[in-house]
Amino acid sequence: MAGDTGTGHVLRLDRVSLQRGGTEVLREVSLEVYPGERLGVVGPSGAGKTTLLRLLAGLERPAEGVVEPAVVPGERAAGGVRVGMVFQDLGLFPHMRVRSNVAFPLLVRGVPREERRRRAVEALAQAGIGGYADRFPGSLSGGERQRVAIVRTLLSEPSVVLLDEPFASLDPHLIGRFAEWLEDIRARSKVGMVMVTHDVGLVMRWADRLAVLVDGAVVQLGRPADLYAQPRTAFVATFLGGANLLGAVVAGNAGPGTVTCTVPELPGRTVRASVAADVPAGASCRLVIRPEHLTVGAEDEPGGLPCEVTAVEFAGRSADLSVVTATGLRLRAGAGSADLARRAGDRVSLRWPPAHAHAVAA
Amino acid sequence: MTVRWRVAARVAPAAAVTVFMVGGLVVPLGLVLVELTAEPDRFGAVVRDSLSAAGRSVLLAVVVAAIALPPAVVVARSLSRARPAVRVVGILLSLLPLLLNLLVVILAWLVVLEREGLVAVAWSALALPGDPPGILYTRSAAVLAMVYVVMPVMALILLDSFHRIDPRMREAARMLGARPLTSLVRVELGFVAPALVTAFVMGYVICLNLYLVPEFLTGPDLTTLGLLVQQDVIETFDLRQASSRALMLFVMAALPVCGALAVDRGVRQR
Repeated sequence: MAGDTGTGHVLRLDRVSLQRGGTEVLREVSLEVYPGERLGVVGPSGAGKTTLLRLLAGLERPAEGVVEPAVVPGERAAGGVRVGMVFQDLGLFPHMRVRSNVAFPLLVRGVPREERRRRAVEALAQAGIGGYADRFPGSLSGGERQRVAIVRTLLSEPSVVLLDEPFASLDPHLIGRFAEWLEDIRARSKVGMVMVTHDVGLVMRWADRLAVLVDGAVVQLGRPADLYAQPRTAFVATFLGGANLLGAVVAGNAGPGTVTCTVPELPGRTVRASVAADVPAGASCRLVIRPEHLTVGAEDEPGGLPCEVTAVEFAGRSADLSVVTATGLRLRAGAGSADLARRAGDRVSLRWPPAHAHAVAA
Repeated sequence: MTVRWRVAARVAPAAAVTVFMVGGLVVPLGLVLVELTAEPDRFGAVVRDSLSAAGRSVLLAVVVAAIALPPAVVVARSLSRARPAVRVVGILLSLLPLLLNLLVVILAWLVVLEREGLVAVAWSALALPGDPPGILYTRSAAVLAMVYVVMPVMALILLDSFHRIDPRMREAARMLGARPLTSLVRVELGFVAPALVTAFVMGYVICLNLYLVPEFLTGPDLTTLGLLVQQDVIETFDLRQASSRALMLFVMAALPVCGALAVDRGVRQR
């Protein structure tokens, strides 16, 4: 299959580092992109996400490490791999009509004019934007331009498409619809996609695998559900969603991948938590408990952690209850519809299943 | 301040500028038309007599603008991509031919191109075979000097458009498989096409009126319409004939300017 290097992956970075102006922008990044997969890349601003994409596109050369195959922008690399990229500001040609923009990859390959025109119009129609063919990019909305840029890139027949912040120029209420359109396009073209975005919630739903980039290094890579349930660091835990972080000390091993911890702010209690790597007894750690895994019950519920409600925050589809324990530990719990009637000052208790507490390095 | 004074404070400067600009065009044009209407038949005769000079003027201006356009593109593109400090120096250097008096520029070209001039000296110093090309007092000399004068103007007109090219456009073209030449022609020159038209038209219009250059560097072989107007005014004092020819020049200059404006308007409506 074109775009497969024969080793399973389309692209591979092996311990790649890159400096710019004396600053290390990427540090020993290793990851693979597989045919047809959806790889999400998230991280805070300045983490090196766009640089990572530019490296995959062949627009940057690494100072150290290996990019395999060696990608030359716009050309097929070894194994027939061709990388397409949709820039954050799209790079549409404002002086060309949409049809000519989309036909550009065909033009540079020497496809005859009539065939170019036919294929561009077909591609636009298939993508549901056939009506834009004769317009100029400047007359389109941000979302429409984004679609045109993606269709144009797909006509260059890439093995993998790199998307830099594809939702950045969209109104919030349009993002969901655009994501559906993108997935539809991807499913039909069967092309792999690597997406850099700030929209963590959306990319967690979209991606097959997710890489979290912090300070130029991939701190965790895996299935979004795994990263959410078993984050490797406190940063990953909080970056991917709401999390209660409790300072704890490992008391002992409780079986494979499980430890018992003591939490100074929860005297007399031992908390069981999953753990990604062996942690010696006595080591400090932080416990991650997601708000939605904390169940709110009556104050006198046996085994529950007594708390006082400090606030109820309603946010449409979800709601959070802010509580504080007698020792001053502040927690957030996912509120059910019944909990929305609670008021600040109400006494409640919290429980959580042992499987949903996860220990990470302090 | 009362409303009346506020309105007056806004309108007065605009009115003054308008009177100055319109007056500068309408009064001489009006004089021309008055002179022409006095003897309309003579206007026809003058036009017929001047057609060959007009043709030469247009041809010379088109050739010069066409020759000056590629180097203007190179200069503007390079300056647009240069570091800000380099760009400022480049712009100043580009302005040099405009800062010098035209007669001084012509004199300099005489020094360069004359039989014992710099070209001849360099030719000998480099021990090149044969004689140095004798282009002084040929049409090539006028073309060369006029290109020297109009090229910086054309480059400065193009500079802003090249500067507005988003570097992502170049990278996008590259990612889509475009070779550098395809990217330059289809993407960059396509983007600056309206400015190319404007630069060409401005070069053409300036050349139409650069009658001193052919007069000094070419001689009687290349009589342009501008030169005939000068002769009418200064040598024969025939203002009516000068007016007729000036009107021809005006039309020859105004038509392409209108075309360039139409192109620009079309682009702005996108």
